[in-house]
Amino acid sequence: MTWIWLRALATRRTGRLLATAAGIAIAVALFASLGSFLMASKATMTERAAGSVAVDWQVEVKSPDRLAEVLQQVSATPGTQQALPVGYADTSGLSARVGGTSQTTGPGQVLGVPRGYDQVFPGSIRSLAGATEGALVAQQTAANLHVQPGDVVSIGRAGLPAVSVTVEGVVELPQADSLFQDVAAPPQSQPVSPPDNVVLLPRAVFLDAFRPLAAARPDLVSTQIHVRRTHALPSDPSAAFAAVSGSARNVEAATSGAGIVGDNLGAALDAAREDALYSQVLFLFLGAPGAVLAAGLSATVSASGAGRRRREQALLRLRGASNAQLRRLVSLEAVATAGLGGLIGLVAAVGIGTFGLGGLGPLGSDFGTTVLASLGWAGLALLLGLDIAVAVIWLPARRDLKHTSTVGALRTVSSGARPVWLRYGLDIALLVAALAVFWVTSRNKYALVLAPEGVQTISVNYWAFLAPGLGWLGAGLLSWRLCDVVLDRGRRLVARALRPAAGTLATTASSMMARQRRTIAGSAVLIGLALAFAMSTATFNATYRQQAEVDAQLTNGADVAVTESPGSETPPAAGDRLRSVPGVRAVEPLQHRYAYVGADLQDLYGVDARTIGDATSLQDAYFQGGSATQLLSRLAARPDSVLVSAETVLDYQLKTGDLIRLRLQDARTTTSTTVPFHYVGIVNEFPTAPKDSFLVANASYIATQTGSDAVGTFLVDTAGSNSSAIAAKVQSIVGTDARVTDITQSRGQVGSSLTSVDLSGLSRIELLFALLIVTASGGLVTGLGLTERRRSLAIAGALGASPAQLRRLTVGEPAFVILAGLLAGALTGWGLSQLLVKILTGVFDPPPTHLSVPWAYVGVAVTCTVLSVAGAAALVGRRTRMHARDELREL
Amino acid sequence: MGSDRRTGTPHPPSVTYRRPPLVAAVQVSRTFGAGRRAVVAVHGATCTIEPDARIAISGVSGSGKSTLLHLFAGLDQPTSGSLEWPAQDHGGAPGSYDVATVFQGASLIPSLTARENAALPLVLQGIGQGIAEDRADLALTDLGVGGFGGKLPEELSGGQAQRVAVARAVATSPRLILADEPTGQLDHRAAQRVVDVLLHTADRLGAALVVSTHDPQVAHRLVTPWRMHQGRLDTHLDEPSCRRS
Ligand SMILES: Nc1ncnc2c1ncn2[C@@H]1O[C@H](COP(=O)(O)OP(=O)(O)O)[C@@H](O)[C@H]1O
Ligand SMILES: [Mg+2]
Repeated sequence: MTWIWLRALATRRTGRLLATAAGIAIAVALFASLGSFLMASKATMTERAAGSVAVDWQVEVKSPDRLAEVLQQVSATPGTQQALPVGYADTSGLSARVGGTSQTTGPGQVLGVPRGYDQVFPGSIRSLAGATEGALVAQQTAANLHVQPGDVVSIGRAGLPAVSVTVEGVVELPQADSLFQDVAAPPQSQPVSPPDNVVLLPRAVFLDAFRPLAAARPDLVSTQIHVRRTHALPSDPSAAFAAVSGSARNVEAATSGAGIVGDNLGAALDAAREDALYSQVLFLFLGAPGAVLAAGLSATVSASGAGRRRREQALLRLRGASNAQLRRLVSLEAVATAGLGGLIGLVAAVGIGTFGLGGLGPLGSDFGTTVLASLGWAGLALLLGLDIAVAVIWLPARRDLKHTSTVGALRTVSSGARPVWLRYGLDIALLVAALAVFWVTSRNKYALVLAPEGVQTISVNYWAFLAPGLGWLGAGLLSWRLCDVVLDRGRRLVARALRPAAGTLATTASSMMARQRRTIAGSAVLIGLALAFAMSTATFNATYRQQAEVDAQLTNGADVAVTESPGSETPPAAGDRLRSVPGVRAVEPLQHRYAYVGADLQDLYGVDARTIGDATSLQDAYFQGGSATQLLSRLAARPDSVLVSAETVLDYQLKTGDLIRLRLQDARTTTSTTVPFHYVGIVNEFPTAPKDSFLVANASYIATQTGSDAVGTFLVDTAGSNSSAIAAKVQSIVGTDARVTDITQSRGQVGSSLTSVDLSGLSRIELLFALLIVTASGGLVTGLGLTERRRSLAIAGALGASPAQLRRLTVGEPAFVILAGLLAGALTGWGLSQLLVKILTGVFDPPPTHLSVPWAYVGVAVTCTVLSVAGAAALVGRRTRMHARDELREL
Repeated sequence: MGSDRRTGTPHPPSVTYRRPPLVAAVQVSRTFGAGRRAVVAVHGATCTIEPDARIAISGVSGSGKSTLLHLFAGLDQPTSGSLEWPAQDHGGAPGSYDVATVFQGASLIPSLTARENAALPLVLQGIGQGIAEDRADLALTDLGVGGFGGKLPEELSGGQAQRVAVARAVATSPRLILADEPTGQLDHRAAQRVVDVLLHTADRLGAALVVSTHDPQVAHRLVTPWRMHQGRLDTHLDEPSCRRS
């Protein structure tokens, strides 16, 4: 009997079986592709984080006589590839006599660097001029002392005579922050900025020069062991962080405190794991509704065949099948459907993986952990498919078996009792709860992902999921209720609305719809939620891209930025040559100076407030207490206005209009002069400005007060296109005097937020599936719903209805489903987009001031809905007319 | 009726006051499927249905009664032979104005009430919903199910549903009523009542009535007995020669 029944299932219910399996396949494919994407992007994050570090560990040796021991221990630690000792010494000051004038600097640092250091740690030292070995001075120091290769610099030693060295090269230290970190100190008490004056000496020279100082003042001389570690790390940032920081602690324990590890690699991975967790949260936020919808699709399809299945069960029972046998058959059906759907889904996921993401599929080329994890994801996805099958086939069938008599099962239309939730207003309650939860979670200082620096545990505020989850459910149920009310109580209204299309048959059509309102409302809600999913996902993605672009602009300054070398005296007029480059829309000079606010050295930017907006985008979020336009016009209103950071306002208790005196360097006297400014507003972010405190003032005022209109950076607007090509042309004009960067470079840079992770893969998957779900819901649900009513149409045809009349009888249902679905989708989608962007606000840097709605995509989604529903209705209608004669036999 | 059939001579052209027959079938066959699996449901049926006919078609299940009635109604087309409706303007297939069918099975639309079901053919003819429902109510009352107008088919018993189906057929005032085993689901008394209504309505409307049945008691109430046997139609049961054989 099992075999016969399975064959009957495959032949008589092919359509429904395939449709149910299709829903499961969508869920499985979505889950598997998102999973593999997540895995791949985590691996990229680990790789990028590790790649950004030049010196993986800086092990501070506490007492000089244990250097050998610690070096041995560090070298023996698994994962260490190279370990080199580096000397650190404080100098009391540097001086040089060049061309008859003598320059001196304040205190600085001298490093003793072993031979081959820059090969072991590529990226740690960048040569600007002269040799790469020997006595090297940092660029800033060279500028301060006016020295170049060949000049002599004398290095002051506290309490001892100075030593002189001949400069062999000028270098830049790109990772000076970590190089000069205080290894033993916690993050919050690190030096504010690296030393201005740095000299690098060969280790032998260094030892000769500073051994006496070490003897006299051991506090001024120390040794670090710089370590290169393997970058073959676990692909998950959290696991990689745990592995690296574990080894670091091992070293500290093994040397019993003689060596303290400054774990640069661990710190980079620490930041990356927060990003990884964010992307995981995104995966859940954006993927879960898709999977739920796909399951809903399967459920609706399966439920649309429930009547038929009940009748079949009743007939089987009449023929003597026992309950146990029927249950076995149903289990078999569920497993068969899940298997079929799972298989299709996994094949689709592999296809998407290879074609959509460039080889990052679940069975990607990277063996080892990747394959294992891929298989894990595939297994999870299959399990999800089985769960859905159980929920949509097995559970309802079992309920039927328990609660319906044979006779009752032969009925076709369910009784009119309203669902319990409808009577108790569950939908409203859910929506209110969603808003309440949202209010509570976003009111307190809210962080979606909690990743305390350096701490192993990292957590997600899963409460944040509650609001959109409840909102989803509530919106779905409310839409259902509204459809139900309109179709039932509003029958007259529906009839009147149908009159133009259905003519005299409007009343009959509306009556038929009223009696089928459960199914129709179900279809409309499913389509509405699918559309909402598509819309909110697309809006989130578009907003995310918009913010990433804003972030890139913020970092680079504009589409193209021309940064003059420090100390150059480029006048604003130099911008004219750039304006003539084809494709350049605007060029704005941006002054960059340093100013003392009290004892605090801050970056100061001089702008022309009226025109700065032409060359770069200034978001309202950059400012506080008004829009970008408002604050810029406040700045322009007085020549001596200044915008300062919120922190400075707090530190100095500033009120609008307050006088602030800034100390600036005067170009004429090369001494610092005090310039009065008036505080007019708060600026949080500004193109090219650092994350911490800085100032923005009027360029013309700064020029007159300091006697120099030298430009720091030219911001070049290319209207967003061809940035790289234009940058190349600009570079050929300015030559090597200035550094030209374009926005495409900063787009790829690793920042501290997720914006750095390229979400395009994720969004492609999401958007594809959203469209798929929208189309499938529209087509399948409408098609199967109308198929169930084929008999009714056959009867009407036998009673003399013409094909045109049959069309008029059926036009109402798809029309209503489309209209209600679009309406529900638009409203829910709008609400969800708002909620998503608010909740995931930590993902955005800077936070968006407005949502970016991708109208083209929304248009495609709406078109897909309309076409699939209308198409399915037309197809079913045609088939009904063609097969009306076969139906006659059963009349 | 049928004097021509008895004498075997054609009409003299001068006799024009006679109404033409509603259905004229010559060697009509209906075959389902093809090849070895073909089923000949109706095999070379020749007959006419006069405007005042009262015909009972009897035969066992599967003998082709339903197929023949569907052919008469124009819901199905013969695979061979000629089938005409001479009373129609062009002799073509009749509309629902003229022929009403009571189907054998449950043929009510599940999502419409009894009243709406009965009114549907009228609405399809373009009659306003209100008037159509009033006429449907009258027909329902005639058949003793007037109190069930607001009920959905699933809330009716099989017999009640069958009577609603009959009401739906007669509500349109057709010229030919085709009833396919209309009493199949009914007990004796209810069956007689349905036949009463069918006969009464046919008389009142001046319509022809064809009822298929396997119940001899029902068959006896109609004047002309026809028989179906394995797809072959025998219309000569009332002739002495046939009775003898
Ligand atoms: N649509 C159809 N397709 C195939 N065979 C059919 C169809 N309708 C009727 N038949 C066959 O034609 C024969 C006559 O059927 P039917 O007219 O329903 O008989 P009755 O109404 O006398 O029971 C049966 O053998 C039946 O199986
Ligand atoms: Mg029959």
